[in-house]
Amino acid sequence: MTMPDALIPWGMMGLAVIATFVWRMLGLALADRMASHKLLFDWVNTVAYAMVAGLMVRIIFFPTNITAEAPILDRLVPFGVALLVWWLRGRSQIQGFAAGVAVFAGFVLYRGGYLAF
Amino acid sequence: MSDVTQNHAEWRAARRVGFIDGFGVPSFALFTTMIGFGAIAREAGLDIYVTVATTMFVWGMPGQVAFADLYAAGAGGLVIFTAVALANMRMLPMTVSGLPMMHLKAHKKGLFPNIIIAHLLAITGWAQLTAARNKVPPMGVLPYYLGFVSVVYVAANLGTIFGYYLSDLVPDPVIRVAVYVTPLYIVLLVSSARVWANRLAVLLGAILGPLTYPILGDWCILAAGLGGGTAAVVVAHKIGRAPE
Repeated sequence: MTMPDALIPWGMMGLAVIATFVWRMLGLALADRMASHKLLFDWVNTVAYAMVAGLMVRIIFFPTNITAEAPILDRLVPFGVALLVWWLRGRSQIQGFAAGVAVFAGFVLYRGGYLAF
Repeated sequence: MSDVTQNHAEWRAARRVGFIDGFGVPSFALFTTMIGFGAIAREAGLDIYVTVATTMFVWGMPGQVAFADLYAAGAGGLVIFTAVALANMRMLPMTVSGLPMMHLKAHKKGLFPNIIIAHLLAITGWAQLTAARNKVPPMGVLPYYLGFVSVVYVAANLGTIFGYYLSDLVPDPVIRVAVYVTPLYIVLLVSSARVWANRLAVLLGAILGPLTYPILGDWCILAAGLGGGTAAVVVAHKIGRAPE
């Protein structure tokens, strides 16, 4: 079976859609059944949190995107500053976030020669 | 006021709170992230329609990026399917834990609306559910979520289009900052989880993810999730800090 060339991107995208959708459907089917098993439910919750945190911190430490070109310190320092401000300001997400983004932007501008010290 | 009118008023009130919360950091974060995706997708050789459809129907950033990357590399269908499934596997624990918070059963919306609700659940909306429970009554979490996610969904799709066409007009530093925004925002969001076991899971996952990445590659998300999550729930139950 061959696919017309114009349809190949759509076919591949369809596979990506199905690959994501199956997890959500499985979750929808299992959600109520799992809710009554306390330990199992707690475990699924902690797995979700750990998975999300692991993925996001991995993206910050070892990105595969455009930020990968910057030295690792440029990504770690803003991350540390964000966590510190978040903690010191009573776990304020907005303040921690703003501090981290500002420091990262500073690094980007500095490396790009927009800022000179 | 009759029950029906009152329920309707409560529904709209909760939806409004979610709608307003959708503006601000969450929409900004997703808009900017999707600018990055739009740019990646164009470089990968996808047309604008496939690019936007990917955001609309995959609706999970790491899987979308995996798809665009692999498509550009000329990977086959099985590779794309496996990579995207792995990258977006967190949708399973997220829907299992997130959907009961919305009390889907009690709302009796029917199968098709429930499928839409499950489809719209991605990392930002899921992480926001924790905040929602402090802001609206239990039955208000679903309308709150729908209000919230509708804003975020539109912002993400606009960001995709914007990124696709304007990636060469936006200065490079802006794109760099844009790409950094989302993971940072989500880390702070999940770090603020109310339940102690979940915060411990975030800490353990955040350590295990990058630590195992050099060895395991993209499988590190499994090590972080299963290892960190299991350890967190075991510790929490052992020391009597299990979720209520």
